Amino acid sequence: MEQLILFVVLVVSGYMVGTFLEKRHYRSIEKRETDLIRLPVVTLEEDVIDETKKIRYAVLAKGNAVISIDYFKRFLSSLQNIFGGNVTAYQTLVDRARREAVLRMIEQAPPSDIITNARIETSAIGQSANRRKSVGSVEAFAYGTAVKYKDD
Amino acid sequence: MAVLRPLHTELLLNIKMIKFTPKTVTENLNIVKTSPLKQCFILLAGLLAIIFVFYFLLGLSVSWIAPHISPAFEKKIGRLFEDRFYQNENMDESKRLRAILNNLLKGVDEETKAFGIEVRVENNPMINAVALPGGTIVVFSGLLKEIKSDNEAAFVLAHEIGHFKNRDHLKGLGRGLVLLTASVFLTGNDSIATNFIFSQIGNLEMKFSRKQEKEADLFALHLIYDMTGQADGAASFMKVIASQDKRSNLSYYFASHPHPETRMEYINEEIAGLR
Repeated sequence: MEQLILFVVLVVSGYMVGTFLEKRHYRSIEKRETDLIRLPVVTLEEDVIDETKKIRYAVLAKGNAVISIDYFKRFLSSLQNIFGGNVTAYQTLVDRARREAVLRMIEQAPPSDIITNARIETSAIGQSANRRKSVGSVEAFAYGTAVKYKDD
Repeated sequence: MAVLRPLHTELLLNIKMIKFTPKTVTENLNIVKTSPLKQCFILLAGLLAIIFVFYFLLGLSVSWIAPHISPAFEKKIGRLFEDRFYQNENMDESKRLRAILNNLLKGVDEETKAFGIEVRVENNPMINAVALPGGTIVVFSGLLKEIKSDNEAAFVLAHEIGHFKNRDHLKGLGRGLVLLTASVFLTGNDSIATNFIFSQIGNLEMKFSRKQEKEADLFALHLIYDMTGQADGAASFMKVIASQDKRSNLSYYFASHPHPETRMEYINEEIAGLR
């Protein structure tokens, strides 16, 4: 019985705190994406670099983010694992991690005109990383080449 | 690749003409818009419904499966119970009850004999007697303190034989029986799965319905009457129970049984019928 109560408390508090934090995170992501929108981040390689200009520097830009799911999402995903279909519980987890990683890459890069060759790597980390059927935290690592042209 | 190549080249050629236009993404297609709470409730309800149906079917299959378990297989299941109940045997009392039991067994049919019914007295203050799968009746010495005469003890044993005959001790395990049977059958007697299920069945208090108790009572009565030509044990045993205060230990044990007065009534009726 105690275990059941503990479980319900964890699920309910996981839902409330998790939802609150997720909403706050999404507000932050959307605001920063709008703020940083002037800087192009593309997956194309050197072909996008403007050859009419000289390059001042081209450096590695990187950013990573680790996001964990809450207890409610873990519970929901275990239910969804039984019946199949869209595991909606994990969608926001991966989405938040990748967008946050890209934002951090942009924020940490030196002032630049374009970030080329942007890539995102995703991996599961934490206690349950190598266990089957369970997702603990997701790490997203975004990297690219930050290019700054010389001012003429 | 052959198809992709020209497309790729074309894109590269055009890339410098592409003007970068900053644009915010207003709609996120990566995330299906659903209410997680609603989804959680739907899935939970589905899961509970499946569990309920399974549980219900398990309950139905108990009375269907119990008569089909062979005595040999039952002995296999019964071995699981030994650790829990065989601790401190009272040799003298065991011997006394064994003699009574062997006497009683002369009067039962071959089918019931095949269970290989045995009796064992354990030193334990509990006022209780249990019929374990496998044919062993465990009587706790606490019960023998309350009932002293051999006739009354004979009635208790005959009552338990009645439970064996009707396979009540298997049905009494309830849904656990089906799981346990499946597990012993598939994975063996000593497997992890069997031990896990056995530990989950809990304190293994057999729950018998009043109808089952009445049948066992009447079986005991007829058995003893056939053997001895009298039914004093039954009547006096019932008197012992009925005379006990409701809060006393003995009537606590018989709380799961029909009310002593009711038992006395139908037993007296039956005795009158025998004469």
